[in-house]
Amino acid sequence: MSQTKHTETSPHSAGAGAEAPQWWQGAVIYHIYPRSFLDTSGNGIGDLAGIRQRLDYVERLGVDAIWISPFVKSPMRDFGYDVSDYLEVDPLFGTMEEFERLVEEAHARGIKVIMDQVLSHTSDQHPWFLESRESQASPKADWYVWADPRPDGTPPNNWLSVFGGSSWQWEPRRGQYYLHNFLRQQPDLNFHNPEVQDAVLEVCRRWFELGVDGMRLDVCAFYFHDRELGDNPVNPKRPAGSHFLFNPYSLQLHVRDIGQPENLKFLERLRQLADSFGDRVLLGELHESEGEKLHREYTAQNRLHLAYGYWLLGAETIDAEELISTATALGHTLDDGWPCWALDNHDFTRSTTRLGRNKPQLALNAALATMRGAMCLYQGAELGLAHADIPYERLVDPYGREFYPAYLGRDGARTPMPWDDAAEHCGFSSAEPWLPIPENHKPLSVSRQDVTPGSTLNRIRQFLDWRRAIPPLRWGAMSFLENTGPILAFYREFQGARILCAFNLGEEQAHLFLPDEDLGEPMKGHGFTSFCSKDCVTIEPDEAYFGEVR
Amino acid sequence: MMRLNREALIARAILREPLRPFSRTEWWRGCVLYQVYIRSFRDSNGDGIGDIRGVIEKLDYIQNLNVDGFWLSPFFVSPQKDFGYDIKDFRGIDASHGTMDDFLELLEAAHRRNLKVLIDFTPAHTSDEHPWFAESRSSRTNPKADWYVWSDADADGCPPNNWLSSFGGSAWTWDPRRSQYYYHPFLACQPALNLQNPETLEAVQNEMRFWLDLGVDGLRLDAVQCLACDPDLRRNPPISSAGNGVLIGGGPNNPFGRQTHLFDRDVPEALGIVEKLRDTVDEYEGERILIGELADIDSSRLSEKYTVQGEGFHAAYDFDLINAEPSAGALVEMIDRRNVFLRTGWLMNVFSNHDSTRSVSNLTRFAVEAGLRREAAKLLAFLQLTLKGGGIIYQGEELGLPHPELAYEDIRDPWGKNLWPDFQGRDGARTVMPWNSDAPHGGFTNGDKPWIRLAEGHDALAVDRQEKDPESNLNFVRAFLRWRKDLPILKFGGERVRSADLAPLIVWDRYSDDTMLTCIANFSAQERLFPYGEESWDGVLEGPGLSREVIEHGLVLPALGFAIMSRQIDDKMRQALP
Repeated sequence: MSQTKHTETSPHSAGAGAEAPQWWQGAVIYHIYPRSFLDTSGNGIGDLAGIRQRLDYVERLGVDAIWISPFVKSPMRDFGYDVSDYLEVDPLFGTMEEFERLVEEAHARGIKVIMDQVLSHTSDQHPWFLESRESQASPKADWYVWADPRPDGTPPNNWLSVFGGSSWQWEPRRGQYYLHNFLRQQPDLNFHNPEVQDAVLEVCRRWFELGVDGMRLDVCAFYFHDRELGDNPVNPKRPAGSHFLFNPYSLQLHVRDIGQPENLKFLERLRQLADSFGDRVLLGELHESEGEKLHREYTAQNRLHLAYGYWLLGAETIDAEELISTATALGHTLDDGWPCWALDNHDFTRSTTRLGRNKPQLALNAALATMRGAMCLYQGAELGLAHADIPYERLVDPYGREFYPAYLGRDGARTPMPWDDAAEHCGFSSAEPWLPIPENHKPLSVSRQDVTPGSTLNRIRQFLDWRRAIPPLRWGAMSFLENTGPILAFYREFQGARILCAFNLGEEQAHLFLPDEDLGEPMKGHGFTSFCSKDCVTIEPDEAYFGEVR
Repeated sequence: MMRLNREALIARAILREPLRPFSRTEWWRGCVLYQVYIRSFRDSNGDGIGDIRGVIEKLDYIQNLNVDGFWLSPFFVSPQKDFGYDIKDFRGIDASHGTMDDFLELLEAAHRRNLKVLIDFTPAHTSDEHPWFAESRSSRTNPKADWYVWSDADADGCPPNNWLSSFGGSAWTWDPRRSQYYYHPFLACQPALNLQNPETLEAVQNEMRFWLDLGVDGLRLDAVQCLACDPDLRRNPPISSAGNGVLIGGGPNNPFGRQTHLFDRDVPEALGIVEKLRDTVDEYEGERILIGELADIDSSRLSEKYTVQGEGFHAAYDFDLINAEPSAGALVEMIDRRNVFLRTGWLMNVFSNHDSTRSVSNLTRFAVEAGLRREAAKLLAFLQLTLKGGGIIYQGEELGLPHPELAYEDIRDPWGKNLWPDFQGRDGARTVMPWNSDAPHGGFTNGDKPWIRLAEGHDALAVDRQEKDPESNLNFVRAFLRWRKDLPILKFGGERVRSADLAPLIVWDRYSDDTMLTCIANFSAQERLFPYGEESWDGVLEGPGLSREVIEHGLVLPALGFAIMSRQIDDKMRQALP
């Protein structure tokens, strides 16, 4: 218990200057991993038609948009993050017509559609690469990052792949190495080449024309590399977090291979393109090191609308202090610089498990949905699914197979949605799914939670529904209360309306001491409980308080 | 003890008193073995993969070649990532090749026919699925932690040095369990054993003893250039502008070829290990032998070190002929060099194996292109069976099979996949044996899916056809080997090669105390005259395939022809011999 000191902050303008708020500001984006959502074709792999069939479900969640992980043509060495044709739907997932129907029906329900764009690298099966690797004289010779070996035959520098080993792969056809920041089947495009920039912008233009409302930009700090190919320096201190220690990648400071200044200009070109289509959105994925600095640069005016880093995705504990310092570092007082909060995605251990309590983090999720910024809700998080244990024989993620058993890879977050535990394969597919559905997901199936009052699913639906109707929680300026112990507390203020939001992220009952007029009138309908007494609100763990302040 | 460097070790070896002709006449000197690549030899159960019962089925065929025995490529339990050279259990038979009972039956049947049986053995690495490696990688403190070659990362996370795998990429792979790199000179799934750890070496010796106890006559040891690596893990220097003079596999641009392999191949620490391995077979009766494969290095110069009389391997499995530049001059130089260096040691002549381009296409492409494939194959067999040393005939070589062109889709070899198209890998030498020209898949399998297809054109060269043709390569090899059995000079005699000025003729003498045989091979597609000059001969030998057309000034050799002349040695000549 601590005496609360309320630091008054001056109200800030909301959103983009004096303009009207944008749909993506404060949006909740439901992240769909299509392989694991719903299989309608009976091949054990989810598809686009499956997403369309479940739009009712998505709509009932009360989200503003969906982000669909890659569904374009790919040899699937990295499950779609290795694109062999940017403008075709992979037959595993359906057809272009099916995608257009999906967009149409989503729009009819007021749901925006964001697609994944994997521009930093292609598959080694992409025709661009097949041409580029053929010879040093081919017209696309300079479309990828090629370099001669050092005199002793070794790669040109010390750069390492995120997925293990050197990030340079020998190509006998050219007698040169090519750069790959991830798998060797994922050669990096050379963004220093204006033709490459034009080509990927053309890809984006085509999809905007098809009606997608936004793009989630995969590893968007990786687009450029140091042209001089200088060595990365040694990292003077290893990063915290056990999930990075298994990988020698963390022993370098990645100041040469990624995060290059030329990227900013390219992001501006991309923004210009997006803006030429109206209210489209660019959501960038940032990597872990220097995430905050990049966030400020990348989400500055005329660059990305939104970006997310790994601040919370990799964290094993998240307390109020951490959220405040992260939001502050990201610049929540700025006009631009909108973060996209994410607790879960297809790359990280599910938060239900990772945060150690093995129960759904309702208050934390509500906090992220009410802090200034957008939020990604990853499929299955609304069910409170635990991270799946997958036996080695069934692991398919190349990242996990490389670093097993120190790191099990990403399959545990990618298991199929348990729709109906009474049906075969939980209603996900009529065939054996590409990843097993864990036993402990069955009691948490949608069909059960649907009919259970107070289930995680129903709580999240209720909360997101409630939140949608309250403009300050979407667009308002944010000011934190300090020294509130385990309680995260902040005001959101928009057009004269002011809401106090308080969440107990700790393990024990906690109190927030404020004069009654600053606590405001308790609001109802959000599904959380708290107890108000004179100049104090008492909140149990994983509960929250919302007060309307005049 | 002072650590001798590699040059000093060669010097020490060649300072030995050279072996006199006929001073040693063990069975393996001058023996001719047949290499059976089981996977592609004969599939008895229809699963598309050759097996031990298939070898049993074909024992008559092997015996009728008139060889002294055969060497079996690996059949041990293996994940088959490198087709058996990645061993998971040294004492078990891989189910795809049969059972231990099959092997024992083969061994007994072969011995009944007086055929020696050698097996392949990889002393210096295992599969990453071997229980030893599973234990070694599990922690830095387990009892087998030091059984493989482990190293911390450099400060920047990179491997500890610049060593490359000859199969492509760094020779170091990170293991997240120990947060260390392990060393693998070949594939990442073939971690190198640390044989400098006596406990590990003893374990490997015990695996060898297991097979020696069963009665095998010897082991062909794989990749002995990698028995040890530099304990200090020093970096290899880049090659000089002149190149390093060593022919290595993997295509002309293989980055591995850009280093001088001072510290990852043929290091001085290996020789102590060689002696221990030799001691292991010497524990057994009946002159069991070790043949050490020396690849990636200058083997005609270095073989002596590894085969020092009584201390090293019995013979080196020499890669220099396989990798030789296809010209008479270059071959003469190489034969000369081996005679200079190989003083007390011994080697096996090998022109083809499961790793190489088939010799007729490799060394005599000019002849194949001139429509003289059959003649060229006979010439190469003549060279192989008359040069000093033993010979190992690779399956299909007796048929004069040409190397097939393969499409990328046909490639099964991981090495070929890594370095395609600069290097096509080793599958061309591994296509299935053509037994029967009319049967599906050449009679290799009764099933419908051989693991690799029959090469185009090989059906016409199948065993059944060649058996009926008196001029065939097969009948030549059979007859020549039969004929050779009565010429001990070819097995135990000394050797001296004549000047490269005689090119395209390759001319060399084999001799005992009283007799000299002069062998002449016409390494060209034109008729050539071997002029007698000042010399005189007693006669021209008669034998399978030997040219005998004598004119006034010399001997006429047709395109790719070969001949042997003989004479008695007088005192003057004897003194001029090495």
